[in-house]
Amino acid sequence: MNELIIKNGIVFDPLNNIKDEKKDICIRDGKIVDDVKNPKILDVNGLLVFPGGVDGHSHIAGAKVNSGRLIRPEDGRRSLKPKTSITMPSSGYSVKNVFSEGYDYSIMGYTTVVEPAMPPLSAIHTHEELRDIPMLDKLSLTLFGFNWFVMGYVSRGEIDKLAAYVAWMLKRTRGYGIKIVNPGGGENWKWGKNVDSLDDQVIHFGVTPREILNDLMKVNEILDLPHPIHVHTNKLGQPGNYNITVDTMKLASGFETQRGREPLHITHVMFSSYGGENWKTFDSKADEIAREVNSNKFITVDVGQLMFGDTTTMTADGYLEFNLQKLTGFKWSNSDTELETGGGVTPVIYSPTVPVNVIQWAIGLEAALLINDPYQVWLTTDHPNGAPLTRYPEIISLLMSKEKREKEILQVNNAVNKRAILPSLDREYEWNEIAIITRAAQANSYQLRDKGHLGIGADADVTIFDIKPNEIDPSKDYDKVEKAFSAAKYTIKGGEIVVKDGQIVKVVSGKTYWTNAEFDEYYELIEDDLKDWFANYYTVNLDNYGVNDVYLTNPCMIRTNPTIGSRVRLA
Amino acid sequence: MRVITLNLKYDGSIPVEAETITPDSFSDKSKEEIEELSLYLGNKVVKLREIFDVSVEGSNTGIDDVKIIIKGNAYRIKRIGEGMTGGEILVEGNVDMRCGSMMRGGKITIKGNADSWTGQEMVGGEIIIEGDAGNYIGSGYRGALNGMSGGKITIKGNAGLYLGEKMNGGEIVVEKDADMLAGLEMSGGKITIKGNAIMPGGEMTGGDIIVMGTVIDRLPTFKYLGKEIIDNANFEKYVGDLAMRRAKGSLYIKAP
Ligand SMILES: [Zn+2]
Repeated sequence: MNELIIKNGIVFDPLNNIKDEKKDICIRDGKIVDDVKNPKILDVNGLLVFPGGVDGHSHIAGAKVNSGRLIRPEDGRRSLKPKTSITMPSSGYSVKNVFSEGYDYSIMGYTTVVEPAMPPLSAIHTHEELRDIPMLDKLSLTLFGFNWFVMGYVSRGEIDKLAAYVAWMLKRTRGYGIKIVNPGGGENWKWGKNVDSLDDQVIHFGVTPREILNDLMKVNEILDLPHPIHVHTNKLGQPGNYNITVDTMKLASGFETQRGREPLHITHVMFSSYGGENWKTFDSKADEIAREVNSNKFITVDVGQLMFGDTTTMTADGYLEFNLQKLTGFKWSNSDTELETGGGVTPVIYSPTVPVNVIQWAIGLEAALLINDPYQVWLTTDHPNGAPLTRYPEIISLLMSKEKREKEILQVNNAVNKRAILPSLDREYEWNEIAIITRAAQANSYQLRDKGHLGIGADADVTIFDIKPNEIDPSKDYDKVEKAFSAAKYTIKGGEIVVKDGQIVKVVSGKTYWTNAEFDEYYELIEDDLKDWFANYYTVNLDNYGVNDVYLTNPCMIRTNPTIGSRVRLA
Repeated sequence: MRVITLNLKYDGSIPVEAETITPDSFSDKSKEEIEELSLYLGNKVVKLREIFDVSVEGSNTGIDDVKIIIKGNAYRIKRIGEGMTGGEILVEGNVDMRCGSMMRGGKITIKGNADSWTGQEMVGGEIIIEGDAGNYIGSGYRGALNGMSGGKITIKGNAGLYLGEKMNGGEIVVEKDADMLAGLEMSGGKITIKGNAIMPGGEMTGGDIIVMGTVIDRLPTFKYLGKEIIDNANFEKYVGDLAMRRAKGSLYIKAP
């Protein structure tokens, strides 16, 4: 038996309503238990104890990340660390190598990370990279937003076939849930166009973004998937897009789910909260977005915070990357993934002297500060789109300190005072709220029952930060906060100490979760379509498509209870 | 002045990564400490004393009065002088790639030939190559936005391909010929080629290229502006590379 007790920590465990309590945590064989007999003792004497961090949206694996690495060798030479007796070499700042993704997250106290954009055709590549990322439990979301099968079934109103297709695809790609990027618009981009509203039609298919979103939201519920549909909105990254974002959020309004989870998640909302008609009149509409979130319990968002510096942007929204590249003149890659999806990659430099960038920076913080319920807003940078993952500690200190924000505001372009509202916001996050936006909310939204909390039976993923919450004032000591979150005193993964004093001391390989939503005779429903389309339009044979468990480290299947097939007949 | 002489005793063909050989790193170290510095030989860490015999004369007060002399044929020793901010390095023979890359100040003199990427992304200081130079002298790292942005490189022999690629400041002088595409993608700074050049200025958007010899295959995307006199000599001035947006590069070719 492998036992450990963490003594005298100041524990914040929001999902179990534990807040600022001096409490011992007992661990046996990788799980939190109520009692231990002969444990190894870790006395952390007043230090801050959180559940292991959960990042619900971070591009860490797959074709896009790799094309970022390929077109940016100059990024790869940054943050170099040689191999040690236990760790592999590290490289890269915004497009890191797989090993350093795992190490860097673990050093910051994260234990679970979601890759949010897996093109089905590159599922093999995605899982091969995930397999090589150490230290973390991993999930990936499969892209469906402008897939030809999806749009075909939506246009013909064949929702049972759509459900069957999604279930089949999640199994074939070992995906965890439904990701939707620029619904319908991605297909129009293949014709050099886009969509402008939820009711614009997709070329050839005749369906609209609204129909795609509605039907996939229904299917998500029919299949009893653990996570909401995860949506990158239409017109993302364009001035004046906040309207379509609010319209998209309203689609979820009133949609009750059996699992009690919200039906729709809007990702990296910073990029979708823009006002103005063009880049000259560009301003923040974070207040409008927050107003909708605060009155609509059916949605969650994640921030997608932008931080100044250079980074690499990557998304399945090829239109967006094309336009960004037109503005910067930097190198760019675009891809068209056959019948499924597409994407683009381009580097970007966010400058504190450029008004647009300063307003973008403010929008993310505003969204986090204006949304009342921290369970509705996760902390992300949409790594690496807004900033590389290593910038999280700085963002946490900004959320916890108005003084720090005021100091920053003095350093940046004055547009922040005219076309954003950040300077007027007084809210300062508390420790408990930080634990929610970096852990509890995300575990909750993915319904990872063993993650994001420290209750009995949870996975023993724990972070201990080198800071005493009762002895410092985060609104004044923001530098200490940033330092503490940059390098955990201890990260415990599955009951083992993997980081000590900000250094990797043990390398472990995590689990990979995926969702099995098969229902009776689901394959027969779509078999003819699959055979026909694969034979006629795909470059791969149906039998060679997707992955199986061999590609996953410690595969962990989540079985759902679809209300379709023999259980429930759809009308 | 403190003179540190490194006598090369390594004669293998596996390259040695020697970015720790700089006046900055030697300045406050004793002979013994210098001998203990780590270098990479291929993928293995070795001590400097395994590659060089070290001798030290005199003393120094700062980086600027440190002089490093490298004796022997250092054609497999890479990254000498990387990032140096002052002082002097004299390489008596040849040197391998990336000598003086990211250099900020001081002076490097190479008596023999310098391999590719010498002075890559240098910001300041001076490099003199008395022999021939390889490709990508004063350029950017693969994929980088900018190459050399300050300082001066003088090549007394010939220069290889892509001289000053992505350069956006500083100066390069080549006494003899430059191979294809000198000033490729350059956006600032000045390249003077006293001999001949092939297709200079491809995709340049700014800066000056002056060719005193013959230009072979001048790119058709340069527009003739007229005659201009530089240092009492007649030149034909072109602007380009007009294949690029908003290109304002100047190409001066000596009038026949
Ligand atoms: Zn994203």
